[in-house]
Amino acid sequence: MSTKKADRLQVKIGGMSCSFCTTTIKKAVGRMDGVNDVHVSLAHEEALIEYDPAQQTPTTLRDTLRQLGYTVRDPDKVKAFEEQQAELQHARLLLMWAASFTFVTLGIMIARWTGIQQVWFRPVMIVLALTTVFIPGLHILVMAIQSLRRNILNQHVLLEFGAFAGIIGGTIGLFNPQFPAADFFAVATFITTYHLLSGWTSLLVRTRASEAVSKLLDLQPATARLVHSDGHEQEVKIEAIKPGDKVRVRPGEAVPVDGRVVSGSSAVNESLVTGEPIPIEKSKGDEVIGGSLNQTGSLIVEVTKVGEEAFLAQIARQIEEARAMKPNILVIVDRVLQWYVPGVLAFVGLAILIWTLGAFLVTGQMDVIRAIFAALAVLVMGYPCALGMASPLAMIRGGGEAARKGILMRSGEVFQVFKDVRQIVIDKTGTLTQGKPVVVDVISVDSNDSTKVLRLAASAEQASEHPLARAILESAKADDLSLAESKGFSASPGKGIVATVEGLTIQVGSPQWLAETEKVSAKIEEQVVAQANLARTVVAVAADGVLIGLIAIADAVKSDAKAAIQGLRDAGIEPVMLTGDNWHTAKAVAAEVGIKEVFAQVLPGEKAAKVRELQTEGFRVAMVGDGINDAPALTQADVGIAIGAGTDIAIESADVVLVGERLTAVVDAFYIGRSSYRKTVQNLWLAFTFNGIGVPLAVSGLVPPIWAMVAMVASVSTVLANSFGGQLIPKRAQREPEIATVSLNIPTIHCNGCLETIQTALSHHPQIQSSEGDVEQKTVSVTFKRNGFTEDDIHEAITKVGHVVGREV
Amino acid sequence: MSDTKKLKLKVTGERTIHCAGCERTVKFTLENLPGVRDVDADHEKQLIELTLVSDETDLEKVKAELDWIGYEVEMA
Repeated sequence: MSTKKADRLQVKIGGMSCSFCTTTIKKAVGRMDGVNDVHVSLAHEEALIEYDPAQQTPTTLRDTLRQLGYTVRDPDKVKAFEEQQAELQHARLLLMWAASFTFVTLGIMIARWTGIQQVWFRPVMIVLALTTVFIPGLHILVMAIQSLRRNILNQHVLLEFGAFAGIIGGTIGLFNPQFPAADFFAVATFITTYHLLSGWTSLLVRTRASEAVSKLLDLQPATARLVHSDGHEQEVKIEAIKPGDKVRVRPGEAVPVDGRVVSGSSAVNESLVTGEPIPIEKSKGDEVIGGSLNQTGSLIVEVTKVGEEAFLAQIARQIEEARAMKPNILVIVDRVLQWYVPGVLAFVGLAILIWTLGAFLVTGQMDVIRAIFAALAVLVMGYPCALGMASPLAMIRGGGEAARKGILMRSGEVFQVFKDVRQIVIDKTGTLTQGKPVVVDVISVDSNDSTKVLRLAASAEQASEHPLARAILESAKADDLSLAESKGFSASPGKGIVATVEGLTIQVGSPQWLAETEKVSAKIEEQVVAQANLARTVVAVAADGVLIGLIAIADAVKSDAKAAIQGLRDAGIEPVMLTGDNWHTAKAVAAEVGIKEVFAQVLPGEKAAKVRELQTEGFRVAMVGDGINDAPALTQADVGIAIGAGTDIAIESADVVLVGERLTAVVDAFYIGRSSYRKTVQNLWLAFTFNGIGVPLAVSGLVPPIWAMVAMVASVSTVLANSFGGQLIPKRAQREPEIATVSLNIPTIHCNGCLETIQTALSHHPQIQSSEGDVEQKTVSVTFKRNGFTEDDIHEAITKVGHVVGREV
Repeated sequence: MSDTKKLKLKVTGERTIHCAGCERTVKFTLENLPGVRDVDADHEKQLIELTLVSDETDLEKVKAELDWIGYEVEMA
């Protein structure tokens, strides 16, 4: 395989409506000479074709796709989205025409049933049927013929069989009164319209999803600010940058290239690339990675790597690779159709056999007329109208419910795989944690109190743009501290700042920097080490050269992370943490949120491999992430879930996008995915039941084509009713967590005061709703919400205030 | 050099130290703080005495901890 010379063609494909289309493309292109491998993604409307350039050219491959009836698009994402919109518009226009023809047909049918007869009825129905099949339905006909030529039986083929059976039956009916001509023509009109409706529905679902996703994406083309040797700056496309060029990166901008800093200094946030949440000081000589975020200062970077070698290009290649290696999903509709289409054809054959050979054996005479009638009736009966809608309708329902909870589904198929997921890989920085530094502790030294330390530090830092300074300022703001005026601010990059506040010279910076000018006691150093062990960054604060306190800053865990992990476990999914950050921080965070399995210091390129490894153990694996480094793994996962606040590249790689920061949405997505799968299965049953009964009956030659229409209406309405009825997220798993009550015996309760103390201590936990106690019985009963909160937490709260918990009562 | 500091606190709020059990609670809670030693709570005098042996805990922290379990105090 690897020795064979192979090129890859990646194309955007338009016109795919369901997973059957992907199978068609895979089969048709896969059979071409020199094509080694074909991967088609419905969600991304993309195909990745691996071929031998000696035998095939991109042009012939593209032409084949066009011949199959699909459009091949410009890979430019903005354009693709606009084209998708235009496609939807076009599909709607075709549907409107077909629908109006159908209404006219229906009107005529009703008139006939009520006994009204007009001479023009018949010719009008013929015209309407032919128009519907050949004008709005022309592209279906093209697709059907192209598929049939390649021996592929898909839903388009099935439709055209039905529609042509209608037209043929109607035509025969013009000469033979045994064939109800009007009914046959009407069926052709009806089913073509239904097919267009199905196509439009699934297109609508996907366009909506991609519309929402494209709104999240920053669609700016990638550019860099090139600095010419004369100092003049110019905005150029990233492709035009060569190694050795110098580019300017302003504060707040993403670093566009891999390179080395030649002048300036700044804090650069590499969390999206490496998973390390605290920004790193970069100055002359330091390496910067394309995709990281420049935060505080302006940098001039000399480009070291471009094109294929650059970090972002490597990621893009890994995404492609992951896409190719992703396990295939065989969608339920495919599985059913694989049997259904040949099944229908078998019944057609059976009908002909029975009325020719069978009739001959019994009566000594073949009933050719009845054989034709029965065959045509089987074909018109065989097109399950609701089939094409079964999945999109379940998705519209599930998608609507999901959207209200801030979840965007990009592909229904992938969403439904959620039910099989047993392991979920979760990125740490920005996913489990907030991804930005916050103050977690203020330790005062000597007689200073912590409020004073924070207030002075924040006052001094007011002018600073440094992310750690912002964390200190935000913490002071949250504590409602009134800041004093600061004068003479000066910053030493990578070290700290000095400013005068209330007459004091305040220094805020790294403990090492302060230790240069001030003697830091061993005890303080111990504190610094202790904080570092908790995976925190320590900032020291000094007033007039004397250390007054330490501020511990860390990337805090999201408030709902613990509940989300518990929710996933309750749903039977084992969470696994995967991070580029060090083991130390990883373990601290994992312990805090309750994750048992951790993989840390995973290089960006290894994340997808890790997911693949879990997949080879036979699990369906989901992945949640936000960074550039997560993108390949998101693609590789069976269900890739991106945090909407994350990077474009992660969002683009994902199947599901969480719009907010809420992590518990992952749990909701699981339940919605599972229910929407169940709905799809139910819909398919309903869709097939009516046709499934009708097809064998039609073999008898006694079922008039009008019954096909009755079956259609019945199946479509039951599918509609089923899709929009019922509850998708089980009550138990909804936002309101289960309320539990536990009664505990506490032998150390002596008096009312003891009881009150316990109750006060318990009341600080937001999950505890109420507690009641009995001094005589020495018992306390606690009512609490069970979202990640357990009896153990209650025990801990009670023992923390010096009481002993006895047995449960 | 950090020196040891003795604190004497009077319970002033609505919640008072009722009994030996309450004394125990106060003692246990405060002794859990780093650098706090020899806590003595007296339910007859409504007094809490303690020794601070390091800078890790200050009066504010002690007050906050007592507030957590429902006691208000001030320096006696």
